[in-house]
Amino acid sequence: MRLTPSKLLISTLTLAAVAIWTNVWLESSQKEQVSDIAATLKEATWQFSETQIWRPGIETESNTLNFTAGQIRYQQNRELSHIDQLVLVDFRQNSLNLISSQVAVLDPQFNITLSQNVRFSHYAQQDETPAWQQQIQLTGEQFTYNNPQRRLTSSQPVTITQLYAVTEAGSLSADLTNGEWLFSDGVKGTIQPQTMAKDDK
Amino acid sequence: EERPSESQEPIKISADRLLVNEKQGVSRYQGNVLVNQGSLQLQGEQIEIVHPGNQLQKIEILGKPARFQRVDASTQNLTRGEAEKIIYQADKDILTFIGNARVEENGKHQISGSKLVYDLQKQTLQAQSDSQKQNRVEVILVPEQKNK
Repeated sequence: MRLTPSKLLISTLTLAAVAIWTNVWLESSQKEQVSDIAATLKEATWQFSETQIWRPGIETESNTLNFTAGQIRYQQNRELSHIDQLVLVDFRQNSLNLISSQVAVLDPQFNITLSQNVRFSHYAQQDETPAWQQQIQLTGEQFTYNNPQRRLTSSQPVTITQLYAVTEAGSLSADLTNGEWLFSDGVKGTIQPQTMAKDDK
Repeated sequence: EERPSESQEPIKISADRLLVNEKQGVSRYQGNVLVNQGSLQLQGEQIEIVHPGNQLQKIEILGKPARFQRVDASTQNLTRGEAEKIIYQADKDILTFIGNARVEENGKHQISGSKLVYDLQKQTLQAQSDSQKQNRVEVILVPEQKNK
């Protein structure tokens, strides 16, 4: 099965966005929070419950990041450590990337471990119609994103779903810089060839 | 004709690994690769599938040897083949066997050479020798057993 390169690449850019987003979001939101909370709490883990920050989050020239989270925890030293029910949407020109997981745990280098019902999905608009169609989706139970090395790995089974193909593999190791994805420990795929339109023959 | 409907059947693949290189736009299945589509079966060490815009264009199998097998639904003829490389071209429904190629039909007729071209639609087989290596085409036809 040939994974459509551009689409998978866009999906993985979203991962880099996660690291940037956490960094940028922390900077932008720290100033509002720190002043009133820090004065009263000594050893504190700040928790936001039922957070719905779906306002236009972080605007950059190429994309807009929005997210919602069930619960966000970060340490007093302002390190974002834990996000429950993360849904991150990365809007680009006429495509949309989405990452979601039950749990996302971050470390100071913004390495991220996403676990429980993890989804990376890429959607594209259908020739000028408002309809968005999912082009490719990578799912599994746990993924680790190494930010400095820009590597995405999973030691657990993963599934890639495309419009006409589904592939399952026992593990994944991806080098996002070079765009090399190695699915190992047994791979099973099904491709549904599409009937060629008469004039294509 | 039976083949066109078969060529629209799902292609099932299994392998040890799948390596996708986005920049080259290539996906390679490696290690104990098995491909099934209808009665068509292909086996080898590495397989590369090219299907731009989800139109199956080509399947290329490398193996020691790469193997092919197919049962013709109407005649129940089993055709088997092997070579160092097997290329399946979807648009023409043609299999090309390259390097120590051998195709055998129903365990009887056998043809070998450096390159064999098998047309799945017309059920024809064309053999080519390799002029440099003097690897000649060899055909073995086994006569039908006469009832005593």
